Amino acid sequence: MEYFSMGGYAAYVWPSYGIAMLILVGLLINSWSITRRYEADLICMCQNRSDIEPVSIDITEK
Amino acid sequence: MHHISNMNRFFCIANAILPIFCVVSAGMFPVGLYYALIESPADYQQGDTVRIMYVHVPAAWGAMICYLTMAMASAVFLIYNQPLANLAARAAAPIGAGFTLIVLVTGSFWGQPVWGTGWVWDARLTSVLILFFLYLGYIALANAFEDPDRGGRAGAVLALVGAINLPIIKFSVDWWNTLHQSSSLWRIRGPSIVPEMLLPLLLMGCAYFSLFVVMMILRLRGLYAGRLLRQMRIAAASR
Amino acid sequence: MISKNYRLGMLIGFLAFIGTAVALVLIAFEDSVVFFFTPTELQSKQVNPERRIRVGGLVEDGSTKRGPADAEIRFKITDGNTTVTIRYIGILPDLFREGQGVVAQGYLQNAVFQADEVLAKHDENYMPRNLASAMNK
Repeated sequence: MEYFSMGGYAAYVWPSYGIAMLILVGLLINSWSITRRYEADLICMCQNRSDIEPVSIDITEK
Repeated sequence: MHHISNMNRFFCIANAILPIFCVVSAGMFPVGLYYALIESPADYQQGDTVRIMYVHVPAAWGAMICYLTMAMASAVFLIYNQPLANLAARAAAPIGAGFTLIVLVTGSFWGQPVWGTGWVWDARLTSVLILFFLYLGYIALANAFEDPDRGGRAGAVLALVGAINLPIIKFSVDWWNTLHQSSSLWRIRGPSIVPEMLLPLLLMGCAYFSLFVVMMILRLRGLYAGRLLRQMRIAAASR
Repeated sequence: MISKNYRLGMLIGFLAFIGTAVALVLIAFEDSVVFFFTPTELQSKQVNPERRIRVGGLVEDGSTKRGPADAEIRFKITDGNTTVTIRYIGILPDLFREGQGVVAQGYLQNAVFQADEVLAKHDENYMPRNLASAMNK
């Protein structure tokens, strides 16, 4: 338990780590959701259109 | 659309390196955090508050690298009109803003106990706040136009003018008296930080950097798909 | 179509112009950009006694004296050449120590700097306690 007190500085150390990780996770989720949304829309649109070269959906392949 | 084959080659490479950086990032964060929070010693002056350094300093490196990426991409877009460069600058801006926010918030949590204040208007802190506003300004400006190329160009000019802030941030602690201490790592006489505290710093630096690469690739893919969608909708509407 | 070399040249010229302008502004307003003055600068500058300023330096060893008022503290700070006495009433930051850097905000009155805020400035050395005590032996 003494470890978590961070030598009396728990109120500064833990929020710093918490906020830093929160922002990083938020950025990652945001980056991922942008990719997923647009790539899904693009695949939908390309499937409805026969005149579009499939080359443009290459980027969705992992 | 003549850039399409170049784009596909780029995304082939990007998608190939994406899993590597995902694995490195996923591995580096637990190891880095373990060394930062458990394995490393408390500082002789600052005690355990020194642990804030391990999330604060790598975020600052990330924020600077991110801006460098954004500024170079902006220059390439302005000079060569390369659409991928426009997307790269747009992808980097929100990541950089997030990193800078981490720097500002954790710095405030560090300064409160150690300096006795969470914020002062010294050259280092002020120039980092300006960096944050430059990122926000770029995002606002790049999205303020209907035509993404025009928005990208307006943002690129701002990004390049703001690049002057980078050396000011880096050298502010050497050029002027500041409350912020000077650099511990990039010194002529070698780092003034013991190896067992340098290790978690570098591990967290690798973790932040690999996460930056992962997020850049993801955002570039998303922005590129969005750009193709837009072109297809315009083409469909004009038919 | 404007050539790429022309655009490159324009861009470099534009940035060099902005860079020079920023550099000139920063040099001209150096007094505002610096966070604090050193004791030597304080002495040579003849600052307006009404103006609130900051002065920074290392706390001189053995110069800290408490009292007579509650929470009143007097100490000397030095930059190696000049020392200035600082009087402060209030709570000091955790890192306030003799031999460490501080920045005091206030105004100069009869050669004593009356501080209303004292901030600790820490150096760029990071090491564990056992190593620090071993080095001092």
